Amino acid sequence: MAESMPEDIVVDILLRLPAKSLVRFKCVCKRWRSLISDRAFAKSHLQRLKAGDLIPSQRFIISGCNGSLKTVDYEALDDGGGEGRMVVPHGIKPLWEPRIVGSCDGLVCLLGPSNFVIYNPTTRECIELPGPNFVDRVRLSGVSGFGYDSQSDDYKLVADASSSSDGNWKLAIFSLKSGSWRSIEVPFQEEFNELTGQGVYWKGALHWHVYVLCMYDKREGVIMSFDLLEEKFHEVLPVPVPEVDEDICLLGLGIHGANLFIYNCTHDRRIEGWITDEYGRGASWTKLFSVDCSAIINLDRDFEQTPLAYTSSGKIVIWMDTKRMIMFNPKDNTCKDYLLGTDLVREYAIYLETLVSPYLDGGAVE
Amino acid sequence: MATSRKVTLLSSDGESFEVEQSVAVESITIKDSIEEGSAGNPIPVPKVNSKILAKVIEYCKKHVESAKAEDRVDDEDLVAWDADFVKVDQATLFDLIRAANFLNIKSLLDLTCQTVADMIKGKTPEEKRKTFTIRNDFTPEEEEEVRRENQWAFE
Repeated sequence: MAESMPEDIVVDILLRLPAKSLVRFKCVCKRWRSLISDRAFAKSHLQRLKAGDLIPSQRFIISGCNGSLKTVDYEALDDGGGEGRMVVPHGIKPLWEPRIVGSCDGLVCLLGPSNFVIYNPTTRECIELPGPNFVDRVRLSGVSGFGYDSQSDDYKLVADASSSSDGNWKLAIFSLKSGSWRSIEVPFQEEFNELTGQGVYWKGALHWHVYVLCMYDKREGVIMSFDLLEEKFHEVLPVPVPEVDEDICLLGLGIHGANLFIYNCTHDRRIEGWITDEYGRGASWTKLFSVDCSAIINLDRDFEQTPLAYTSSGKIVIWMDTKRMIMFNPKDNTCKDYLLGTDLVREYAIYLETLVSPYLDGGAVE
Repeated sequence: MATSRKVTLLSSDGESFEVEQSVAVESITIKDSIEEGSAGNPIPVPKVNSKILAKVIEYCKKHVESAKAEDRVDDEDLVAWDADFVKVDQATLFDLIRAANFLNIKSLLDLTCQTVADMIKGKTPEEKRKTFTIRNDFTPEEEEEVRRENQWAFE
């Protein structure tokens, strides 16, 4: 009966399935296996995903000090009770304290002790990248990021390669397509003093939050971006003003579906989250949530409790410390604890479940 | 007020259906053959039997009506109607897909394909083979290997 179903209809149906299901369905028959493993299919699947609601495909990946990497499906934690699904990836060489550099289109970039790795947690494909030969090691405390350049259809990894000896700022850029590194000099700007850490990939650029000096010696928060096409820094977005005029003690960027997400926490333990889908200085922010967390946040702790996500049922996932995450329900001020395991969690990134392969052309990177 | 033109569609098993032209042209296939002047009267619809053609016509009528209703039918209501429309047995669903594909009715094809996708999302490969009556052409060793490669996806 179904054998007479035209191939393009079978493809249409398969393209609607989540990546996780498709990985399983490689076992159905040879035709499906080759179809699902095809690069063009993965690309179409990603395009369809982006045309719809990204949130159901969003996950966290967290890295622990002993090299463990885990995926946290926070929506599943929300619906089903219990511990939900926390999966420990295997098939990837254990890296001591893997640094999470960034994620884009379902590919996660990690930094191990000797080199970078590009990994797709959904398909478990993993490649090690060669190290840059023009610098001994990239500055781990500097900026980093991983994202997509649509013009060259290439994924790029950006790392800080400045040496302390000269005052110039140097960035090392790796192109996944060419499999090689190069470096660029960046004309120094004062804001760079504040730029550090993982840049959030969004709309073709990496983003960081910094404070800049403006008129009358006042400091203003802005979002700076590194455009992956032009390979230049820009000051792109103003920062939303918090509801309550209190001192902000914590601020950061993230991703919510297709939007850029910014959160801030004030001294009176109010957490606010905002999202935007527009670009440019005229961009407007929509408030996602503004909640009083005094019941659960203890500001005397060293660890910064970070709101990571906002679930479809309106709960807020907050990373409490190196051992646990909580799901806070602002409607009734209750929260659920989730233990992250014995390996202390240091870093996280949001990623999408996709079929995109780190082997861009089907061949391994030399 | 425009006079509503009617056309007659002839199913593969010889049954006639008289419908408004505005409903019939929801099918790009039929629309094209009318515009080219190559459509006969009645317009033959091979490969689609009367049972399925009746359902397709029902779908097109509902969608044309709701698009031009004075007080617009709530989007939610239409979505609910669509959800009920596809509550049919699997064989009928697949026939509807084939009909929507042949007649080139995008929204119906979207609806039916999405329904099948939702149906199979959580199934095991074995269940999927049954749904699509696919022959498992892996040898036992090959199947074992593919499973092992993707073991974690089954956990």
